[in-house]
Amino acid sequence: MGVERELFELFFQRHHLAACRFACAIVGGAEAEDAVQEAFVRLHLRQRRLPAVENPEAFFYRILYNVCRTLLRRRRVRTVLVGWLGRPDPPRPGAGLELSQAWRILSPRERAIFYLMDYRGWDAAAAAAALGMRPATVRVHRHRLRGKIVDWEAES
Amino acid sequence: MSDPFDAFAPTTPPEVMLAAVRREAGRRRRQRRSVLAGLASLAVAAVALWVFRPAPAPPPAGDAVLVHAVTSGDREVPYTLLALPDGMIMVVVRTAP
Repeated sequence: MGVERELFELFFQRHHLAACRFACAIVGGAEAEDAVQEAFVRLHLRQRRLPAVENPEAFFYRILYNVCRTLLRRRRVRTVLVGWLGRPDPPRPGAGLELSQAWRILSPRERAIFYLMDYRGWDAAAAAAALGMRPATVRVHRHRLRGKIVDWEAES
Repeated sequence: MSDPFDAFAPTTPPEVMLAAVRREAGRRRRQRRSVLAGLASLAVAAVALWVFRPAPAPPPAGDAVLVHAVTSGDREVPYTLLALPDGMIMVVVRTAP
């Protein structure tokens, strides 16, 4: 139990900030910390499996990516409900860094791929393991998102 | 390529978040355990109720009482009426051999 606890703590110290930035790239600054905390809670509940996991980083980023998608889904539902009720969503105190227009044209999956591969320098296999898809699919998405960015740059 | 999200600084200090993570994980573990314990105790109670269920009541004792009997006749079919102990009437029809 002690070893697992120490492993988890080390993992947290090493990946906390990077995970916050990854979540910020997908859901924006206001909800990034919520997503990271929830992902670490889920990892804590599975910490016995952590020593046996082949790639703990990919395992954790997969959890985090799923949490981010859940948050985005909830946000969509909330937006629809707020539209029906006619009450504006109260602004949440965030960390001050919101997604730029260039990021908003990308889907959450494309944001994750772009961030992991272009900013973190992960290869397609590592990104695929983290996002739960095949490396070929990751490469296709990366190709498409680059086209989107080129189009957006040409328009703006 | 430089990371545009390097500017992102979490408002919660890491040690505070780690403590919150531990607290929340502990709470969920306890909740999960209590749900499992509740389900297990329900299952045990159901099995105990089934095993120690009361035995079915024995059939009421006593013989049938003859009420009326027709033993012969031209038109009537010979029959016997028997009053059963539970209040029902049984008709016994004798057919020709």
